[in-house]
Amino acid sequence: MASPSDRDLILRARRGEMEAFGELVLRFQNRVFNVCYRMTNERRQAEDLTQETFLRIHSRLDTFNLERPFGPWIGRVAANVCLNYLESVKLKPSELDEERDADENPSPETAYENKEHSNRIRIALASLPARYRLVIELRHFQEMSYSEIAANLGIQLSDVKSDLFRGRKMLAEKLK
Amino acid sequence: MKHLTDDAINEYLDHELAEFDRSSLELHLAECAECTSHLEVLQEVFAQLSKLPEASLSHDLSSGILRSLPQPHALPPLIRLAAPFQAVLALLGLAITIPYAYEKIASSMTGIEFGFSLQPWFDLQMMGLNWWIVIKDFHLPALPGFTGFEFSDQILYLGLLACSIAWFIGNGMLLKDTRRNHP
Ligand SMILES: [Zn+2]
Repeated sequence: MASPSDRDLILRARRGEMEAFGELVLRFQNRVFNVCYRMTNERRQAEDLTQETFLRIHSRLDTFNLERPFGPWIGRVAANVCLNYLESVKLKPSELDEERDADENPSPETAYENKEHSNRIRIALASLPARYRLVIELRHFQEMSYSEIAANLGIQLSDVKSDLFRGRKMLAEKLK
Repeated sequence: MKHLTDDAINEYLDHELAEFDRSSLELHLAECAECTSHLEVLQEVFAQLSKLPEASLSHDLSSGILRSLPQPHALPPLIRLAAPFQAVLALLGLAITIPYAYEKIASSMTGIEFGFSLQPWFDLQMMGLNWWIVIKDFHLPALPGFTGFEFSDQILYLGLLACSIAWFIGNGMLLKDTRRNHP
């Protein structure tokens, strides 16, 4: 039997079928986790935010436009959940550094990553102000256009640009 | 020579520049080392970000997520009893109608012997009818200022109507609940 499409699963989940929503979680949890991990650079926190993202997705499933792909939508929801979190704790970069050092529970898979390299980028990303991190996430990893980002965040196009360009400039300096 | 702005270089790399601006920017880049080096710094950021590998979850989060979802509220137990209650009512309905149907068929097809007797059934039915008559003729004790209460056929019909409505609503809820929890 062919596995059901995302669309079928969403329709069934909307009717309250837990199993269907569970299947959606299985399909997209890694994607959501990666957004959260890039935004926080802390595994445990990223897992908690992944859970929170799926709770939000579940409560907003009715607002999702079935004509559009599901993956990008949940990527955006995840990025927004992370921004809310980062704003609520007002994490300063220095605090983040400490937290990152305390993250001594990497998955075995990370051994296969070019750890040195990816850590450098993750640290640099995590040291950016949350707003910059968010637009970089949406532009580079969710592949949204300026106007999509502006609409999604409810901000001016000019603010999207200035946040994005400043964020990149800071990244360039940190990655030098 | 007027150098390119940071904005223009960013927009160029984001493919957010119009074709005309794109070509004139490329013309400038071709002859300006300073702007080209700015572009290369940014390109390096793009490259680093795209090289960032996907991390893997160390464990499956789905069961925890499902547990933390708001559970669909269960139906009140009274409605869950609706199914067995309906079965009893249906059997009772059959018990009442079958003798009538039998009588009708037997009388219309003279000469055909069914070979079995429904006498015990008829006796049961008679008992039921007697019960109905007893109930019908029952009067609540008269209170001062209250003339008493009489069970009439209308009351029976109204009662049946109320039961039917309850039946439809109860069944609808059961059906919805079943679809929800057992796809
Ligand atoms: Zn120049």
